[in-house]
Amino acid sequence: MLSETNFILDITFEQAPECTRLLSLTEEQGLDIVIPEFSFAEAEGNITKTLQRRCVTIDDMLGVLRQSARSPYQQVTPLITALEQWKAYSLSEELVDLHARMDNLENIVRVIAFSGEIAAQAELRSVRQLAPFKPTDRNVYESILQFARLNQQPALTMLFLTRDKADFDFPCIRAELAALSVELFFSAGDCIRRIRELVERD
Amino acid sequence: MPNDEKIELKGVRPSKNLTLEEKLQILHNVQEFFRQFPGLGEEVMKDRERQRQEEDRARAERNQFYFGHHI
Repeated sequence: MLSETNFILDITFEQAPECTRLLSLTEEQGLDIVIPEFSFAEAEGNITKTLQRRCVTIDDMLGVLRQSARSPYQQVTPLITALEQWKAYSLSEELVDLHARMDNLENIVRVIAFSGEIAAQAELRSVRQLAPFKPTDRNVYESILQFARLNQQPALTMLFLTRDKADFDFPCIRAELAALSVELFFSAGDCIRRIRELVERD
Repeated sequence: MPNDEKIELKGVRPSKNLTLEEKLQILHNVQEFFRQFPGLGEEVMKDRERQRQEEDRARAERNQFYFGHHI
């Protein structure tokens, strides 16, 4: 089963229990979860950027509180100290730890290494005005296509799971995936049902 | 597909040979770590959505400029 950035974020934050269920199926049913390296970088970037944005908000709050602290009637000094500590902790230990945790996640699935070839194909896709239209999605999708091309074997069934219907549900994508015998799913539940069918058939 | 008939996958990085228990333990540790940031998951998803909407809007504006209509 091939998947992408949303899958990583979902299992990281436990937003979709089906994703954890899929992981359990890896051992029981001989299922391999394959995710592009690019998606791991994207997920890490998403989390880092959100934490950095939070620090900017803390800075704004500190600015307001420091102004208020000049007034003799305001007792905001403990608040300022707490916010300063929170910001320092967020940017140092937590971010470093975050990167280590994301590295760990890469060990529990198979990873499609990002390469110059994938980047070049994604760039050509952009020039040709082919879906998906977002730069990050193109790199993810070209990683998936490369893997599918390399692994054309009759005994191997490939399923591509993405929650991102708005960016991936295009006729050209459906046609390309179908030509490589990759089945496309926009819901983890549907994907699990299909895996069950395949397992029962075998 | 039983495990003893596992197909060798091409084009993927060699992974560590981990048991399911070890994999689930890693997942559990990662999830535990992120639980220290209440609300971060929702925030990340919102940020991601916001960024993607901005990209959509920029693309629509570009098309409007070059082609005079939305594609």
